[in-house]
Amino acid sequence: MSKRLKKKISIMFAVEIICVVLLGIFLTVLQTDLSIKGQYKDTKEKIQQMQEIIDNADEAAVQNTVSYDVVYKSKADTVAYMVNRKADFSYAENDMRELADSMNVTNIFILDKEGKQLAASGSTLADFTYDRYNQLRSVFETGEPSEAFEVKINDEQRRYYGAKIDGNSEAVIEQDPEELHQIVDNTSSWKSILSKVGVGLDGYTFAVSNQDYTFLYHPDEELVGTDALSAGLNVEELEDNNYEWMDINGERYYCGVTNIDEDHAYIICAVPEKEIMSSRNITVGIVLFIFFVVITVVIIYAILMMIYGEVNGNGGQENYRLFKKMYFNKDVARKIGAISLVGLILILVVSFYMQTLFSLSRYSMSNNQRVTEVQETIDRNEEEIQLITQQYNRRYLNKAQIAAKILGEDPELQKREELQELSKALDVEFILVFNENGHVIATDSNYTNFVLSQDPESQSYEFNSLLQGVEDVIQEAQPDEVSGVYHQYIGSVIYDENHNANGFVQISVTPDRLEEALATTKISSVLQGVKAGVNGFAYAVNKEDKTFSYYPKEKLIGRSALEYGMQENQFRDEYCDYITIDGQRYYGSCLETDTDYIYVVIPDNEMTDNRLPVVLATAGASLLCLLVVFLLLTFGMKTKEEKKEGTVKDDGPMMDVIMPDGSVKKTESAESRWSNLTIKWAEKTPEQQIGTVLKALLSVLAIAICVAVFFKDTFFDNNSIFLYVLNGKWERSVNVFAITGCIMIICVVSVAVIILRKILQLLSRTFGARGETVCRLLSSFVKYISVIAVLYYCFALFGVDTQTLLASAGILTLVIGLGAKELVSDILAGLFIIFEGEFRVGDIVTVGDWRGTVLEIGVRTTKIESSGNVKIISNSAVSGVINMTRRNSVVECEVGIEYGESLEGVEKVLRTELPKIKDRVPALKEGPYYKGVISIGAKSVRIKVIAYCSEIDRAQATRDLNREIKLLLDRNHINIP
Amino acid sequence: MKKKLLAALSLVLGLSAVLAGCGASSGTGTLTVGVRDDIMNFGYLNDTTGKYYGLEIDLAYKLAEDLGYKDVEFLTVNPENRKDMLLNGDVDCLIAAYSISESRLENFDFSPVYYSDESRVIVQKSSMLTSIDELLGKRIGVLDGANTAPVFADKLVELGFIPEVDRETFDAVTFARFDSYKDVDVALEEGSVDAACMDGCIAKAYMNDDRALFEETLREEDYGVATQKDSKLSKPVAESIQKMLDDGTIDELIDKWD
Repeated sequence: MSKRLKKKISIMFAVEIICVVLLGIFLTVLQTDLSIKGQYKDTKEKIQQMQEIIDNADEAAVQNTVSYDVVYKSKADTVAYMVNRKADFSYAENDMRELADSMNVTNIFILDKEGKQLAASGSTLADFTYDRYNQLRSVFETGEPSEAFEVKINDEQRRYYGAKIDGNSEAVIEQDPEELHQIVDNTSSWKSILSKVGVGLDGYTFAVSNQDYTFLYHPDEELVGTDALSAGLNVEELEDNNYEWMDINGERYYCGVTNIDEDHAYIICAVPEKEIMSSRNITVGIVLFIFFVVITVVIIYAILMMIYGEVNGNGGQENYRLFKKMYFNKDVARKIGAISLVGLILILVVSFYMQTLFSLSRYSMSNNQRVTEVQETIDRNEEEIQLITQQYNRRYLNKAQIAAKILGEDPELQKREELQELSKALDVEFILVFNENGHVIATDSNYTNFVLSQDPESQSYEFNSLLQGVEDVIQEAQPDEVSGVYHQYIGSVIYDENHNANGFVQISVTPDRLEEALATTKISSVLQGVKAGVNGFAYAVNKEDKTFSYYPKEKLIGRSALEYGMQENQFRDEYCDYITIDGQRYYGSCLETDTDYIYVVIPDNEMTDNRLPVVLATAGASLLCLLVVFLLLTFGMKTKEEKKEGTVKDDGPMMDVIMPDGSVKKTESAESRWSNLTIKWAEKTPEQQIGTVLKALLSVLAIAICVAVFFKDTFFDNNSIFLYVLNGKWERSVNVFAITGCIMIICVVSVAVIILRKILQLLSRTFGARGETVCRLLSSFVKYISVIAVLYYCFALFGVDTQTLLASAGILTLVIGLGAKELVSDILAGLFIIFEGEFRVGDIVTVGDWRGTVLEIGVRTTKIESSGNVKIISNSAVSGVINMTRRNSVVECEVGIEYGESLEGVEKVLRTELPKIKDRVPALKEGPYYKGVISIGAKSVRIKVIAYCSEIDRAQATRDLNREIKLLLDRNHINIP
Repeated sequence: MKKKLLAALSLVLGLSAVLAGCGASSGTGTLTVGVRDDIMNFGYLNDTTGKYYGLEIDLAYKLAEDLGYKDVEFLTVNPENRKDMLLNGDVDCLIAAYSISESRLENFDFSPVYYSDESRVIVQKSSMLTSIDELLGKRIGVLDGANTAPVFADKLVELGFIPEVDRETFDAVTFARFDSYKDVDVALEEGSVDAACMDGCIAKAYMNDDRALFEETLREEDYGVATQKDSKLSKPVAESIQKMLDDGTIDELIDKWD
């Protein structure tokens, strides 16, 4: 190797390292920027929705509070009614206590205008004379029950309601509002709001008080209530609409902040840096690796060619086109130009593929996560529906019981006018009083002569049980049989003074409030809150008739999903792929519930918008690097031509063959192709050497992937894209995940097969000839089985029904057996020739009686050329092939010598004369050598002379050698019989 | 060549040494600052970390840096003891929501005003009180030692609800004095006081949905850094604060903690 070349090599490797580092930095910056931009959009969207989400929750809380207060106001009103109407209302503490218990309230007080207690059901910490309780006294001005307010004394929270009795007194209900707080907590606490707002995959939303900087909510329960500033947040960062990196407990998050002033809180959507960066690292890593491979191959190949050129003497200047002092290596340029181009295309494809894979898998995972959240919400809602219904039933029942108690104690009140008052106080629609026969005896409704039906189908039949010993009946809300209006009826037994059952009271309520309370639990309301990405959304399709039961565009609701572009196969649980609706392509995930298919989708273009610019930027940068390398490799300064003797080296197992187009190429001789011996590095051509380098690099990749697959749980966290592909929760069709899955399985299987075959090779060396036979057979068997298995598996990944494939294989065999047998066997034979490497194009072979050069191995036929004639043989007929592509063929010459001649003399002559023949017959590579006596015949002694030449020259060389021997013997007067 | 390099190197080294020396010499001693530990965003002590934070804390750091102190030590003061602590020299200065008033100027020097606040009246919504005139004859919760009560009386006089009276004995309203804002908060919640009066920045921290602030504000409170009368620190402190006011440092801090 010349000094110049050595210098060049070191420069080239330095340039390669620089290129890889620069590209790495460029890609990292690009990808980080992209990820953060994407995250910024996503987070911003979440932040902007936050106000709405909180408003909705606040609205729900207000609704819940109002409906709660209505109940207790009516209780206060009822007490006021009782004090006014019941002649014998008792102010005694015991009776008050009993009343409070029957009304399910904590305490009842009768207060005068100043707030002094006239009667009480028990003691209280409250001093009603304080101005704090002025709200209660508002009843004297308005006449309506007072608005609720809460007071907390010594950790005891109480809620107060007042209702006017007369000008000087009022009834006050004191209630422990725990139930209310619980309901409000469930719907509008920070936890209930923010725990549902997921950002990214592992991201979350939390709230920090803008008054004292404590965590109001954080998924980590332990942090709630602790100081956010000591957790690492900065006061400067907590500004409205601020997007930046923040540290929370030592971990970095990308955060967006919004200030919700009315709730005194900063809401922060945080996505861990790890999540943003993990996808970046793998994407950049793989693209960079491919770039590294391409540039390494280009450089090494060029260098090897130069070395080869130098060593073989044609490294002179004939390939160089001169520009003054510069020279341009045309040969190298042509070859690495082609490789660079292929490499560039490869980089383009890989980076496009990686971008697609990562955006798709990211969105798949986030869609799946949203779907899971919907599932959780629906499950939670089911519980909530039950809870709310129970709660309302309990409240209504209490009203019925109070009415029964009042009317039972004071039958005088069972009059239309009195009942109207009572209805108003109880805040019910109307009251019906039934006697023990099930006849209405008093009511403030229109059903004055109503009688309980005895028909089990009838709506009122259920209430007969109240006459037979059942205490209460709560009927489900349903359209009224008579009027069709939605009503709910609740009945409670009346007891007379002697505690005997005496008919019952039935109250009617319109379940508006219940409906309202349940409205937030409906699927449409759940789906409305689901936001995926920037423009993603959720919708539901009815299972029965495949119509949209919820869709953000209202005009689609109720329409058939199939008509709007959905496919039958998309209606199943865990479906996860592209969906087209109304002409727009979405990427979505499906969840099956009892009644609906729920989809979370994200517009196609949102996912892939960034893909092309990034790919082009990557390709552009790579092109630049490759161009620099290319120019450095092909141009050089002209130096003194180094006089280097072109020592023709032994080619080893390599030899020249003449290709069909007349060009001479190197090939490996037939015998060495099957030997397990590896060719020495120095004996390889640059192409083979670069092949080896490429193989090594790919093996590194394959082994890396293989290791990653086997130790997936150690290397990757749950949300890793790698695991997503491995877990196989994607659609079986031709898509980017299936391709990735195939690449992974091919890597794993090929690594396994290569290891297995290496072991077999080692074994074969140990076990001698028989072992070798078995091992070679096994090795070949392993190869084919693995190819078939991988093919089968990949087909499965691509969504081909492999069961049918197997079954149809039987039918296929039949078809082949009947008709196309010949054709199929030709094709298979062709495949085997190539797979097994029986011979290659350019080899000299003998098939049957035909000896010639292989021109082409076709799908059906093989073409073999000999002195201008081409024989076309069907592949299936190619058998008994002798592959004569060896390094040296033997030229033999046998000649008989008379017994009269001295054998020793002849041998002496041969010794001196034979080496001279080589000069006259240039086709001979070695020899000729005298090989001794073959036979002692009747008339002559036959001796043998052999020489080596290329197979291609063998025929002519044989003729030439024969001629030379004859002339030689003649010259030396040796007689031939 | 080599000599030149060596010379350059030694020059750089020498310079950096000098610079480092400067840095060290500029920070000697510790500035002891009396701060509050109970006013969110002004001076607040985090019990778990033992760290103070807020506008006044940041201001103290800036001040110490500007005056060339190496360290700042914080001592918690409250309205009762802050006067004595400064007089006794327990603290070098007070940055403790300490408003400038004539009586205080007799004993102390004050820096220029770094923050202006107004005393506010806070009530429970359920009391249905909406303006100051309704507070006549009511009980008002104030912090013991704060000058809220006289300010409040002034306001009533100013508004013409009561005639000019001797402040010490006036009984138009009853002031209930508490040791801490927390106690005021509890009294207001329980109703034992009908309203509470405190500086705006403090009131903000005790607001909730069931409470309301009166529209009317009482006299403006101007917070300044207090130092001992005619002490060595008085002038530099005043100058430093003025500088920070001029270059916007204080505006930045206020914005940060807003």
